[in-house]
Amino acid sequence: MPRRSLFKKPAYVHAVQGVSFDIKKGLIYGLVGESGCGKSTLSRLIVGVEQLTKGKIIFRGTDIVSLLKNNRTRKQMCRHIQLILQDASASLPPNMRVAQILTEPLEIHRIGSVKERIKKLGEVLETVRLNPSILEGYPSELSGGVQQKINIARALMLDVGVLISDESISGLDPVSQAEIMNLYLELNQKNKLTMIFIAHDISTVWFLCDVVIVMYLGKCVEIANNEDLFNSSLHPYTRALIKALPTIEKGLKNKGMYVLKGEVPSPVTLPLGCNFYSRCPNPAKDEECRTKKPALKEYKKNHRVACFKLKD
Amino acid sequence: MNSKLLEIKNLKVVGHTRGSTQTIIDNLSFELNEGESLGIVGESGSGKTILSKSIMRVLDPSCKVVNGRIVFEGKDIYGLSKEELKKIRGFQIAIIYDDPLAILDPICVVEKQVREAIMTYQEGISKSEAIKKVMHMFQILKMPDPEKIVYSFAYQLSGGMQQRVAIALALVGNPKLLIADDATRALDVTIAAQTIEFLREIKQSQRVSLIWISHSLPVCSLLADKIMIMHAGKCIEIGTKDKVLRNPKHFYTKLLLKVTPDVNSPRKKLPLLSGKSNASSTSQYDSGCEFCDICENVKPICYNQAPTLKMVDNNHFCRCHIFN
Repeated sequence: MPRRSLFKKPAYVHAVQGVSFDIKKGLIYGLVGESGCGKSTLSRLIVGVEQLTKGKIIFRGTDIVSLLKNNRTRKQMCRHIQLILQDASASLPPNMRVAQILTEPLEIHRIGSVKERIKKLGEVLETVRLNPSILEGYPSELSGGVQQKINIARALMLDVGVLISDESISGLDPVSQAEIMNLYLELNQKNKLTMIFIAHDISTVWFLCDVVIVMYLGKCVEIANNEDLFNSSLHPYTRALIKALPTIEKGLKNKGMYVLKGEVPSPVTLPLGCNFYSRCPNPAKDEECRTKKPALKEYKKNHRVACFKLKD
Repeated sequence: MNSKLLEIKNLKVVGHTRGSTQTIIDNLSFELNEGESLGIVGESGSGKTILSKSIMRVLDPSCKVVNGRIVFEGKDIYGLSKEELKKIRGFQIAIIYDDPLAILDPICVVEKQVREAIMTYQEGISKSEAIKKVMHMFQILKMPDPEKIVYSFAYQLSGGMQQRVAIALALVGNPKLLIADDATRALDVTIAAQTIEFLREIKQSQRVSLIWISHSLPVCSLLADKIMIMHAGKCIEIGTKDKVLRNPKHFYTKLLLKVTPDVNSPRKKLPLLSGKSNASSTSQYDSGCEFCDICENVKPICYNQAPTLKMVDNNHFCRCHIFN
């Protein structure tokens, strides 16, 4: 994406660089990383809100990149993939009653008769455990947790197969977070909903996700199953993320936090070699790390890592 | 024996919005000794930010302290003159927020802003002396690349560095009390960890008392000696960190502990509140306990009478009818 500047040459932000992975139906994938890692950009690319520069997005065997560029076909894709964002209230029109907001997708896609839509509404409300009493009101009267449930309910009205959550619980209080996480788990287990769960808080990813993808500055650095990632993570950045997690145990023991020194490099001027080189705590890092980009390699079965210095 | 640095006694703060009056802080009392740090946990709307603004006496005109006292080093904050307040606010008591850009001047370099703060605090100091103090301070605080940071504008710095500059500004007046209001909320996990360690060192080296506010119990536990759980403007449990976290007494504290995912424990579903929808919203009863709809230990008295804070153990208090 070029940034327009008044006098300088436009600079390119390398948001996502050569990311490849498969999403299997019925699983919850976690996409974790800090700001600038490209996870939000990736979610916007999948739903077609951002245009990609190069590459393919293959959904059920078809490359949907060109479909996403066309408004009419992108609308079709909305019936399969939906995005839930961090700011719950910003996604809800303030001048529409909740009932209208929820039935609107069915109206837009011309699905069902009025009677069938009301029936669907009842079913979805039950699934997300929302009290029908909220239907006549406006979203601004409701708490963040309830607003987010409405966003999820709206997606479920279309029977989507894939739900992408981009930090959808980060702005909520701890109890609402737990409720929404439980809901996602239930939707996955009972309704076989496939999910991509994007978060910066790796503890929520631990709770929800079957497979975890760790990103740093636009690149995947590690992809593994939940157990493999949390019990035996291989990439130093993944390790740092897990170690930096605030926990009550650390608080009780008055333990110092593990500190990763340095700052994240700018995504405009990428480092020559490994993106993580400047902050990598591995004493064995060398010229190869500084000058070449490590590729994502299958180190163990279903466990891919991008690092030159993995111990065998 | 540490002396009492801050005493909040029966504080009540109300706010006027859209023609109605709401109680934002309700009969709140607690103490903070010198060198101690208090962690305050509460969700948004619990009154924790209004509390810190009340302590600094920078409340919005729509909010008012209608009862109680805030006593800092033996002086009633609301009894001080403007002159006396000027020396305390921002210097003796300093604050950092979740958004460092709310404090940092966007149109002057870091050095100028910190230098001006030093010159305001130390009347009579020359500009060149003040500049030297800025550099000295940044070196003591072990800021990385102090020469570069000092001549940057706030927007040129990363979020973590902005927060460190905001902390440096807060330390200009050698504060006895530093209030950190959700200071790591907007920071990435690894940068938050850096900031927390930075504050831990400052706590020790500068002998500053800390009020460490967060909506997250794990984050709060990292720097606190005592923990207070706030909900709807009231203190519902307060005690030493050990007591509150190892032996929580209030239903809500226990719930907060249960809903925190722990990567070291086996993965299982997080507990939902007893099947009620909109469960995270608390009751509308004016006279009863706001948890009566969702608490598993509810008794008839809970619907009619609001509980008061009772001592349950040495240095451990809880607001619940169970302890009557």
